[in-house]
Amino acid sequence: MKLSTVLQTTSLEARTAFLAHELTHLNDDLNGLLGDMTGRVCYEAETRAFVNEANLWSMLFGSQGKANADPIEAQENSKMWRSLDSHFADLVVRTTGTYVRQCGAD
Amino acid sequence: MVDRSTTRWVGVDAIGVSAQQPGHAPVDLGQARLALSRPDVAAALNNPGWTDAGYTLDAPGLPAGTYTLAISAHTTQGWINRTATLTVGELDVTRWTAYGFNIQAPSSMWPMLELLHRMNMDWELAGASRKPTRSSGTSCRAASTANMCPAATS
Repeated sequence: MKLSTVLQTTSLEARTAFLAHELTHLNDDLNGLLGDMTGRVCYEAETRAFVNEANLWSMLFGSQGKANADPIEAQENSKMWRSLDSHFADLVVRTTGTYVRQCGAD
Repeated sequence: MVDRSTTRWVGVDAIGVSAQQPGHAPVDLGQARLALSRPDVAAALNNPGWTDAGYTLDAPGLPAGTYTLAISAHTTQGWINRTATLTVGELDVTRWTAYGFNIQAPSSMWPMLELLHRMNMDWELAGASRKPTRSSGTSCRAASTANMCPAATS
């Protein structure tokens, strides 16, 4: 795994949150959960990754997120508020244009 | 990548990339996959219409060396061309062995692994121990994407 240089300017915690997201995909892959990553499988994988990322952020900064956040940390705050509940996280993933294009029709 | 002459979307509908070493013919790497999420770009440029500015291109098997990348993007203003330098080689990858784990990762990532352990996310670290992270700089996502090279798409 390689962190984008964009992330090298933000905090250790924010970079770790991205790592937690991607490691969720790695664990899913190792456990045979990813398949062809289209439709339901794809959305569920993204939901798991976002919830895991959100849980880490919540453990680090609490339910209100990080105060005085930089733009990337603010993005993590927003993800956390939208993703701590897995059902709502699923809705968010399914209505985000990027993931609709990535995952296709369910 | 964004076309700043349009604000409602990123304004780029095709990106082609080739790589060339000095004294060699260029290698066509094909078309990039577009519309990857880059909320950091949208935030930095203060335009939510540019959230999908990311693109990615895999180039597995590209031999080690220094390349000049020729990047051609089709925008609302026609084709534009840019160049960039790409160095392909083994990353500074070593192993993180604290707490009984054995994870192949650059030392710059070790503080993140430590933090995951402190947050009781050892199950993720165990997975990373089972499968080494990619060490080649050629098949990961381009630096234009915000995330990392995943085992699958992210």
